Amino acid sequence: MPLIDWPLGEPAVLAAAGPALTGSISRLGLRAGMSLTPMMRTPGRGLVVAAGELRLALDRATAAHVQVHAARRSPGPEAAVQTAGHAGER
Amino acid sequence: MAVQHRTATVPSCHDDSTGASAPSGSPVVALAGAPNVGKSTLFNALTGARRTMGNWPGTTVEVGRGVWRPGAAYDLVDLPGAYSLDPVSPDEALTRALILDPPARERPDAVIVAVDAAHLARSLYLVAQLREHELRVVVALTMIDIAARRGMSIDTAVLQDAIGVPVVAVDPRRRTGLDELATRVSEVLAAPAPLARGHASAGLAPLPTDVAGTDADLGRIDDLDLVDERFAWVDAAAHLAVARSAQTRQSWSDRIDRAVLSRLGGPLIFAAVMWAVFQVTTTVAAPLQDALDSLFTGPVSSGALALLGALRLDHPIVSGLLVDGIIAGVGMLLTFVPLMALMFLLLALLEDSGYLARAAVVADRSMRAIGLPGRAFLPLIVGFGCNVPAISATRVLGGARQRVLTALLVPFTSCTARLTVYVLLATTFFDSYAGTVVFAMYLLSIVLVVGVGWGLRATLWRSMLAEPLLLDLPPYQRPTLRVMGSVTWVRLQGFLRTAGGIVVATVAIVWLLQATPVRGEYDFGSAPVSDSAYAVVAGAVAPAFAPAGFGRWEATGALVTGFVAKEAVISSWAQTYAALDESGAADEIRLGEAIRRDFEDSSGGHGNAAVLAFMAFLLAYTPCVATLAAQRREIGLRWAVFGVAVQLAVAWTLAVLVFQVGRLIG
Repeated sequence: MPLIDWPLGEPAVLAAAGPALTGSISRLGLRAGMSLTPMMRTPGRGLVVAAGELRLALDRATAAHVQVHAARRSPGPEAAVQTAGHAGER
Repeated sequence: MAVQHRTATVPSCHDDSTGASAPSGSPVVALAGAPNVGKSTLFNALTGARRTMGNWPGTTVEVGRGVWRPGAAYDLVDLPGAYSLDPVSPDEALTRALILDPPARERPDAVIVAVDAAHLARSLYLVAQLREHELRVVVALTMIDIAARRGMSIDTAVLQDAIGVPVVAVDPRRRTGLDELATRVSEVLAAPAPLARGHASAGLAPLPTDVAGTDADLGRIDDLDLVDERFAWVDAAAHLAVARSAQTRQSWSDRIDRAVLSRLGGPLIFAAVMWAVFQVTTTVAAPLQDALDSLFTGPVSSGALALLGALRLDHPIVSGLLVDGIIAGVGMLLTFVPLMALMFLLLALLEDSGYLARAAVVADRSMRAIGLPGRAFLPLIVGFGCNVPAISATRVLGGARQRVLTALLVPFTSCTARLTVYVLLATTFFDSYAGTVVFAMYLLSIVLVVGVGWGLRATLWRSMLAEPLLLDLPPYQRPTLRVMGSVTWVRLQGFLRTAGGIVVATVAIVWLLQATPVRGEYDFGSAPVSDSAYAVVAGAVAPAFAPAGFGRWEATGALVTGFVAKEAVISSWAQTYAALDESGAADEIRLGEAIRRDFEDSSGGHGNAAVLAFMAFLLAYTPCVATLAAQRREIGLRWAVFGVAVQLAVAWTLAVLVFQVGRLIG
C-alpha cells in the first residue's frame, strides 16, 4: 500500500520505493524492511514519518511512491511480528 | 607532505588557493560527514572560525579551510555535507572528488568523519565507504546530548573496536572532546595509512580476503552486494555500540512539530516568521544604513577633502577619485554591512534552531508551482527588502540548480530601494492614484517572479525534474550565540571579500564618466553632467528605449546610474536637471516638473504611459551592482551575466509592451 494512504500513528514496514527515490531514501539510512510510522499530515498534504529517531518530511507525490506493508504478516492475527530490518538503532 | 598544485579538472585538498591554510607541508586533515551532524560547528571550534571560503572550479559549492593548531598545525578542510561517496548532488560529488579522485599523495592525510550519535547507523555508512580506501580515518561522535535525551547511549570503546577506527565523543558547541580528538588525529598521522578494509558482517573490523586489496580490486565487486555488505556492517556496529531504554516517548521536537507543521497553524507560523525576517532586514537595518551613508557622504568625505587640501593634493582628479570614487564605493559597500549581518544572523538562527527545515516543508507546495523547493521562499521574501542578502540566502537551497534558478529570480523581487523611485514618479504623474500604482508595481514583481521562473523552467531547466521532498527534520535545539556569531562573521567576510571589488570599481567608473568632459571648454571634474562622457554613453543607448517612450539620455542616464544602485536614480536626476535645494538634496517639486516635461516630450504626449514603462523597466532590470556581486559569489560569473541578460530582455520587452498598450488606451 502507498505510504500516503497508511493510517497515521500505525507502524508499517518499508517495502519498496519508486526507482527515482531509492537512492534518496537509502542515503537517509532507510531501506526495505525498516519500520516507519506516519506521524502527521503537513500543510502541503504530505507526511511526517518517524523511522526510529529519524523524522522525515515527504511531499504527497513522494509518499505515494513509497510502498509499505503491515508489520504483522498473517497466517493469522496471532502470528509473530516479523520485522525484516530495524528501526533506527535499537 | 608537499603542497601539490591543483590540476584543471581534479581539485585537491592540498590546493591552497582558498586562502587561509597551515604552513606549507602541514598535514591536510579533511572534515567529512552528512549534513546536520555539526560538522561546520566542529570546524569552527577547531579552527576558531578562522575560515576562508572559496568556490571550487565548476561548482558553486563552498569548501571551508582553516588552520587547526592543537600543537602542530594542521590544514583543516571542511568538506561539503555528504551522506555517502556515491554522489547524487554537487556537494557530494565535490566531497568525493576531494577525498578519492586525486592521486594518493594528494589525498588528505587524514579524514575526520563527524558522526551523529542520534542517527548512528545512517552516519556510519560514510565511514564504511572510507574504510574501503587507504585512508587514515578518525570518527568524531557528535550529538551525544541529543542521543541521550532520546534514551540512547553509545559505548565509544565498543564502537571503536567494532569499526576499527578511533572514535572520540565531541561536543563542538561546548568545546569538549577536542583535545582527545587532536590526540587521536596525531596518532593516526604518526602511523602508516591502513590498507583498504572491507566489511566482515559479524566480526566487523577484520579484513575479509575477498574484499581487501586495492581500489581496483574493490571496483570489481558487484555494487549492490557491496551496498548490502556495508549496511550489514553498519547495522552490526550500531547494534553492538548502542544501548537504549526500552521506552520511546514522543520528543519535545515532535510536540513542537505538531504545531509548526500542522495544516492550519503551520502556514500562520511560517507567515509570522517570514514577516519578522522581512521587518528586521528592512526596518531595523535601515537607520543603520542611513547613519553609515551619512557618515561617508558627510564627515568622511569632508575629512578626506580637508586632508587633501592640507597636503596640497586637492586637484579635482585626486579629490574626485578619492571622494566620489573610492570613498563613495567603499561607503556604499559598508552601508550593506548591517543589513547583511542581520540577514546572516537570522539565517543562522533559523538554521541552528532547526526551523528552516520546517519552513521548507510548509512552503513546499506553493513553490513547486515554479519548480522550486519550499526553501526558496525565504530568499524570495527577503528580496522584497533587499536583493543582496536575498541572493546570499539562496545558500539554504541544497541543489545547485535550484540555487541558480532562485538567484536568477531574486532580482525580480522589488526591493525597498526601488520604492523611493516609484513613489517620486507615482506622486508626480498619478497624483491621487499614486498608492495604487505603487501597489501595482509589487503585484507586477510577483507576476515577474512566477512568470520568469515558469519560463526558465519550461526552457533552460526543462530537464530539471521536480525534486521530491524527502527532508530530514533535525531535532529543534536552542541556538547558541557563539555558533550564530561565528557563522555570521564567516559569511559576512565572504560577502565583503567578493563584493568589495566589483562595487568599488563600478562606482568609480560611473564617477569617471561623469567627471570627463566631452563637450565645451571644461576641466576634468567641472563639466555639467549633460556635457560629460556619462551623457554620451546614456545618449548612445537612448534610441533603444524610444519604443518604450523614454528614449532620452536624461532617462537612460538615470538607468545607467541605477545599475550601480537604485538609490542613486533620484540623485542622478537631481544632478542632471540641476534640481538641488540649498542643502544639496533633490528638490522633488522642481525635479518632478522637469521629469514630467521630459517624459511627455520623449513619448509624444503619452507621459503617463512612458513613466509606467520606465517604472516597469526599473523593476525588472538589474537591481544594483551589489546584487550582481552577490550573484557572482553565489552562482558564478557566467550565471550572473546570464541573469543580467535575462533581466534586460524582460525589462525592455515589458517596458515596450506597457508603453505601447498604454499609448493605445490613453
